[in-house]
Amino acid sequence: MSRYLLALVLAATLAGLTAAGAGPLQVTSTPPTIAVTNDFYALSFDVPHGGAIRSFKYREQKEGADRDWIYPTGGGLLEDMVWQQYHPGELQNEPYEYKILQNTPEVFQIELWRALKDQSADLKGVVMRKIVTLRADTPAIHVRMSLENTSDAPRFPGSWIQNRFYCGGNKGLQVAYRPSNLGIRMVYVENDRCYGDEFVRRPSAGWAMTFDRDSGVGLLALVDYNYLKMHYSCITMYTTEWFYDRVLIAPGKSWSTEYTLVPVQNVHNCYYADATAMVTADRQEDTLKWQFRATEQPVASLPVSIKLEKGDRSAVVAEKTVTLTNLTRGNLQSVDFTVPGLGRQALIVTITLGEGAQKKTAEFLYSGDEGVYYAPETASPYRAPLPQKIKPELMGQRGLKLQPHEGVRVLHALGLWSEYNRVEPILRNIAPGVSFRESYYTSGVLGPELTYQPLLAEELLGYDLIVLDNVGANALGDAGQIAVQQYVQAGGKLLLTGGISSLGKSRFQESPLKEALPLEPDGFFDLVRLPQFVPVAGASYELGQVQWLQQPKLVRPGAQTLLTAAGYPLLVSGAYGQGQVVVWLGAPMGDPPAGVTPYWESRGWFREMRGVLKTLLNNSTGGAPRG
Amino acid sequence: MAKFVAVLLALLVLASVASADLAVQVWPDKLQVRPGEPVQLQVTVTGLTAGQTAAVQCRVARLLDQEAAKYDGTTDAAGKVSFTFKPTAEFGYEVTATATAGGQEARGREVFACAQNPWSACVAYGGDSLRSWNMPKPGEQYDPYITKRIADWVADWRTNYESVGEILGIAYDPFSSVAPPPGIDNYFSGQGDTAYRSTVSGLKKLTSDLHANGIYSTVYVNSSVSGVGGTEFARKHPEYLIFTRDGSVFGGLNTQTLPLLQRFYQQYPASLTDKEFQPIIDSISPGGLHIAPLNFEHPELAHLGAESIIRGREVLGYDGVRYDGHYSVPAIGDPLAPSSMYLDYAGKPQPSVRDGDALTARNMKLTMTESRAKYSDFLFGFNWAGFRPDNGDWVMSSKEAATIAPGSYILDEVAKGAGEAAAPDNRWVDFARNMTEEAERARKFGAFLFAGWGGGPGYNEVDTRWIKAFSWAGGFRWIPGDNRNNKAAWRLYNQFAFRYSEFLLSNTLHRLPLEEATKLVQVTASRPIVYERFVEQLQNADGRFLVINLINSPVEERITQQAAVPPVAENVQVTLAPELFAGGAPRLAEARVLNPDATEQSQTLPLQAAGGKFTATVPSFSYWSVLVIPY
Repeated sequence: MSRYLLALVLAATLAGLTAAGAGPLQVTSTPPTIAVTNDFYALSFDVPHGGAIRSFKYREQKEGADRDWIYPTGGGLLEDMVWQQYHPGELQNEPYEYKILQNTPEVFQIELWRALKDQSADLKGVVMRKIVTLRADTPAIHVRMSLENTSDAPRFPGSWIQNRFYCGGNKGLQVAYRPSNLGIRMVYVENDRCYGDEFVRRPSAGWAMTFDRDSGVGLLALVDYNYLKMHYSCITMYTTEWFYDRVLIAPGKSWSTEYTLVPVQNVHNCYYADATAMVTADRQEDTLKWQFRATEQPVASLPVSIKLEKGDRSAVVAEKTVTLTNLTRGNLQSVDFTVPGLGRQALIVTITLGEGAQKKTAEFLYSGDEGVYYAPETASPYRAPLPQKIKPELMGQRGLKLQPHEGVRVLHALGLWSEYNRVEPILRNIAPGVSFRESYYTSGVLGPELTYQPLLAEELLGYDLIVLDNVGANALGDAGQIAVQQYVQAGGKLLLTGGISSLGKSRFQESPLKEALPLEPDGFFDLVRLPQFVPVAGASYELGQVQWLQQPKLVRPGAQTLLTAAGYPLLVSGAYGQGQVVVWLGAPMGDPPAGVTPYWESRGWFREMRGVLKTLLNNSTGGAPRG
Repeated sequence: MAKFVAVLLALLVLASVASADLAVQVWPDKLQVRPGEPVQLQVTVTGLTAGQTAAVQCRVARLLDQEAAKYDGTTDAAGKVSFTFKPTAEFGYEVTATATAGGQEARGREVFACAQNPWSACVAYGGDSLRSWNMPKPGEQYDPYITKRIADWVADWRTNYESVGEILGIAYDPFSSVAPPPGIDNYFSGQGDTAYRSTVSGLKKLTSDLHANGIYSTVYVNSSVSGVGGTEFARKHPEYLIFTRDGSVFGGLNTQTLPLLQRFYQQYPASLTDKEFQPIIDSISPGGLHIAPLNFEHPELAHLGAESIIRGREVLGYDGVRYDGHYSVPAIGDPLAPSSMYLDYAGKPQPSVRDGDALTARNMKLTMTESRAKYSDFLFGFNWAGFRPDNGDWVMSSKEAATIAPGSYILDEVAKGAGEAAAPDNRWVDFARNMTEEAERARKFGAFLFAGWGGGPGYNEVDTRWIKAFSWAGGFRWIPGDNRNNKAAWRLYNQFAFRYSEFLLSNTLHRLPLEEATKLVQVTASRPIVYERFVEQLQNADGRFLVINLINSPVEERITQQAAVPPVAENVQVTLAPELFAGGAPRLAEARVLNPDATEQSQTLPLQAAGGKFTATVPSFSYWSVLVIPY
């Protein structure tokens, strides 16, 4: 038995002991309001209004234990929505049905549900269901949320959970810490104004900590990272929210996930949290204390290692491994580092908890005094590693094969200025009967999307070619990226073109689609503006000139660089699986001076690309044709 | 009871003075003018028999009741006569016309204002009301001069005493679809979800008619690239775009409507009535084709912006512009922004903090200098929200100092939540304190604070009165977030504030610090009166005035938008220490109490001296009274 498992067993034992000592749950069911009280909180469900918690008092907080966290002009915890609908949608304030599943002194469990009916035809028949579990021995509120498809058509909803509350029941200085690919990101409200980032669009873990800066009373949200789309804190309205990825639900099937809310106190920042433990920090001059505490239940033993590296990873500053014992929610145990000059320097911190298969690792940027990636002066190139999301319903090996069909079919994703690349006229010249499915790039509050986003590779197997025309991986969505990658692997053809929404600027480097490319994109800022328009080299025709292009980190071994400009690769082709991918790294941007013909206006571009596309459609695995 | 009967009797007496038939309307042709600019006082007498004329006496008054002009005349056969008045002193005027004919007498009154800087006398800012106002609905024929609708809007602003109006949503600059493709020069897109759409011809007609009514107009500047023209601008100059920390282009974008938009222009103007294009007519730029904003680190963009707003004034006839943080460096936050930090295409962060402020100040100075070099009266408004806390003090950046000093207006959109029920724990007392303090800060720089865009449809009649009373007493203007309801109260209070704007909104008013006001002024009444922050002294060419705003305390502490009618405040005794009168004494042994409510009267009150102090007693009022004492 590993030490971590042993720790868990001990934790369970301790929990049992605690449970034995905890007062019983008290339930007052006077429908439509159901009030539940334990040693930690007193809350009530408002079944007719979204089945949400519309009253919450945290009995453990040192001051104001009788204050309601839910502010008087609305608000609540566990408020359900789907983000295809405009706020508040048809769930948040509407009547739910409910059933009490368990009601003992130890456990109270309630099931609440409501079907989507009216607002969105493409969501009709989806049932939002949540089973909320409250225990006598923990302040945690566990929610198992399901979306069930009771219609006879596939549904593709994205959940959205909103919690609107004052930490500690006072309208104070509310702060939220959320982990992201850019580091731990903070947002706070002061004098009704927001400072920091409300949205965290690329979370690196599934926790969000919101607290009141004065009292240290807060609420931890733990969410399943595999389906977490983004965190959001509309901090001036005192909310903690998160959006889930859209999920594909076949008729008669369901999708479910779990999340947990845990009220906390004595919190003034947060750098890591899971259901076992959470980590805060306290720095005094050159001493940096990493403080650990139990999240839900006491933990008998928890191996921990911490590594501090310089912000540029040039050296390890310090490293410690310890085993914390008898970790509780209330008693903070710290691992201290005193390093001369630690001061305000930015550090990359790696914290590992547990051992063996249960080991969990978190890495983030600790920015000295700021402590978070917020202030512009901490503009570090640091990017946190993002765990690969696991979506079993999409990722399974299914023996995919392209579908034979008549004619030429192309899925064309059109980005900004893609018309300059003239892909469709060229394809019509090659195959006059070609049929296009056009999908347009959009970008709004919820990030980039395509008007048609493929969900499964099966949808794509009937296409001869997919063109992502200045369209990023991120616009495909998680499901779409996997689908396109599987399509190419199965023998599909993919053409990518450069631009302000493509390659590195669109997260190809973080995408499962990355491995299909014949090159490796070079970060978020791979767009290059040459000092002037320069000729394209290596073309069979007079191809005109280019000024803007995207610079890859490298061209993969085995791929062919067919065209260049000023030494930069411009047209790169490579095989992947049974398929083929061609990337044009130029962008139809810039204002050419008189006498300069940009590539997109040249006759040679049409001819050259005609050759490229014809070769692709002819199933060749070579580069662009010559002559 | 006795008082009520007396008021009724007085009303009966007044009613008996006028003939049942004889009536007078007096109408200044302009709502607001600049000093020296003429106002035609048009008097129309009705109820005359054929061939009968009426003797008309027209009196123009300002301040409390100081006569500015007096005219005598006789109506023509149509019962009309007009007089020309050229005001020189600033702020509100009241014109009263008295007509006599056949032994009968009738009176009519109206107000207007005079201000060199139109913001100073502006009590309410007409805005947010011109959405889709002159575009056809499906099935309608397109008429560029939908005259009735234009007239309706002009009348709406005019009758509500909104002397400056914002034509919100249009975006006259070279980066937007306002610069349409060649050959299409008369279609406007909107900004964001305001779904504003109009045409050059319609808009010119509107600004022209507004000017004829003495109303100034501003437009919202949208320094983003949007629409066909803006999208092409961005393609040629992507170096001007800004990117987020994750490398994606900043702002919303929708390529789906681009082909439709291109066809829309190709088929213009037939496309205006074609159902295929309804999505565009409904929302031409929102969400779509809107890559906002630009990297104004590049000074050439500010030059382009200045050229553009000048061109817009020449084409459209507006008087000024309102900036929504545009041309700022770094770009302001936006709901679409994934982060609060902006970089160029290569990942170089835009300058921030002091450097960013300095660049923004450069841009705004450049824009204002270039614009005012061409049109010295160019109006500017900014919604910087002005100030920020710094160790307990309030500081302003160079950007803000550069922009508000020349008499601009500051729009504080953060006040948005201040009047909304949805704003958590929003209390009247906080609203009054926060906004009054901010208004004072703006006043110090010679700027004018407008708070918006709040509430609107949710307000009831009572809310409307209190919102306005607290705003003007605090020295700022409240802009509603949506079409005004409770128009009766709205109009009544606006008229009152317009008439007495000098006592409410003049930047020469000196507001007494809270401690001093509390010490020197005591108020007792049948119920709590809010006044402590609203004690001011005014000095102008006519003398000195002590101004005390008395607000009957709202019944509920929080702003609910469902405010209950308060009990009438009665026997409101205001006791004043002599220090308030600069060591002297009031000029007269009387005070004037001004009251906006139709059922309550402005009146002269005795000012009693006792024990070295002076006391005025306001018999009663429901919401708001302004006590003015010359000294």
